[in-house]
Amino acid sequence: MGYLSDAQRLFYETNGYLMVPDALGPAELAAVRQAADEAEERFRRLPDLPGSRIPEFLEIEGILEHHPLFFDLALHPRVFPLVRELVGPDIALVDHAYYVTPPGGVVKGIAWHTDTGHRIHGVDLPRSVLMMRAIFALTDIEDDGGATLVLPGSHRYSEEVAIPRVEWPEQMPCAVRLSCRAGSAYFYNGYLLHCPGNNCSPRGVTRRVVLFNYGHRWMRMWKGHEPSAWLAGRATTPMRRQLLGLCRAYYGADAPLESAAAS
Amino acid sequence: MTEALTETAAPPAPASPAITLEQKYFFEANGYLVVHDALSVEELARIRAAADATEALWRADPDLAGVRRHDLDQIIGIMEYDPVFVEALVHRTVFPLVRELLGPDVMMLDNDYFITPAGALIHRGWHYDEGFPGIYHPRSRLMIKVFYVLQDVPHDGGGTVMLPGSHRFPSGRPVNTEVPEDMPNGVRMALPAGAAYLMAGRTYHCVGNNLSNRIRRLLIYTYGHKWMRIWDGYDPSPRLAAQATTPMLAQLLGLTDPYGPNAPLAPAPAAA
Repeated sequence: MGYLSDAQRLFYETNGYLMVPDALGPAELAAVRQAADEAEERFRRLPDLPGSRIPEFLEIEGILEHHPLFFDLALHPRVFPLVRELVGPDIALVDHAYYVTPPGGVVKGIAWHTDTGHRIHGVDLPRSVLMMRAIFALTDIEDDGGATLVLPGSHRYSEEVAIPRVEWPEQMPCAVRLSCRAGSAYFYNGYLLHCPGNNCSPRGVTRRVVLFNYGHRWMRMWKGHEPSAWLAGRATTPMRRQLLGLCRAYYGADAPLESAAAS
Repeated sequence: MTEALTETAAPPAPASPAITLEQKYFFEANGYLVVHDALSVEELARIRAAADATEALWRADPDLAGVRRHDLDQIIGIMEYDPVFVEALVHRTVFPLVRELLGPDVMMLDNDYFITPAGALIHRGWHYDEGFPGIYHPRSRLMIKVFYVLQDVPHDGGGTVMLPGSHRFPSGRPVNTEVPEDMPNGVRMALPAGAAYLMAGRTYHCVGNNLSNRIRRLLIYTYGHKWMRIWDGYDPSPRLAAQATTPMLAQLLGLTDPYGPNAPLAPAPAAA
């Protein structure tokens, strides 16, 4: 049985992204938010922790290293089965992070990009699913609150399609703003053109999102995301080991989805 | 209004110094490429001597990694045994072809020495090396395998049989003939020692039946991309990793940032 409904599947195939409203219940959201707040406090206090600290945003790299709850989130039953269905049963994590974007930062139009970028050679990206990024919103994200902008359907673009140069991200023709309520999740193909929006929230809302970038178990993790002994020790199921790359790359069976939930 | 067909004629691309247009077009059309006399007589002698010494060592120690069957001996991780096999990984004429065809993010996935005795028979052994979920393989290229022929392979000597153009076949598996050589349009890699051949990971292929009285000896390297994991069991030992004396060797052995900048084909000359 597929986990994606026909409507979800066709929407994704057409647009390259999918929104899952209210993926987290209120109690789940509160728990994740508390874990995220603790991670942020630690990250601000310990400048040696990996990530980015610039006025525009904080990027806490390797968020799975900060609290066991984030490993559960990477396997959330309302989102992970959908992502796995699109990526394939050999799904694994490539990177993971927590982004904190306060109002007032400036993002220029040059920030439009794909996650696969020019790094990946050899894959026919318009017809493949090499990476899929899932994002959980921990705060309400309004249209002008730094919502991710996507260019629907661009995951199918060939290299010949010229992308307009725009001064501001929001000026990209046909772009869609992925505004959503706290607790919602969305995911998009790594080859989909996207861009962070400018956070001009009139209510001064800081945008807070947890990101998981999924790939395949025969892919290497992003530099610096190799699991620590602490995190590896929490990979107590075949699916968790596969997600962290703690399995054979090419041989052997893929981990069953059923092993995702048990911990 | 009649819409004019405005197909712009691209100017002929100058052949890269690393690969001729003939080689590139042949590979793109067929999914494989033969490089005659890839190894000089001296290179072949050095590699063969190292291969013989390695084989003796490997046969004397059954704990060394490999496959030991009546129809195949496979010495896994041949580069661990002698630096000459590391030199062959970046061979001056063959490696630049691989890099041109695969991309600047090229990396080693595995390396082996295959010894196929006379009389070895294969049944229904046709296969692809590549077949990953999520990847549209007919237009992707995740792997290229390079075979160095260390001993003459006669027509009936078990040379790899390829199905030209099958790397572009749509998804699904073509027929699998009982006898490898019965594949319609199959091409046998019957080549003299010193030759090399390249094969796309998506080219449908099969080991041939060795009906000759000669042992088939092949040195095999599989190349992929540096954002891919090295094949299970081929991660370089510290001793091998220490031989990565150039940025390209470090990249090939998986010792660099998987998603960072690519190593140049040749290191920049030292400043005077």
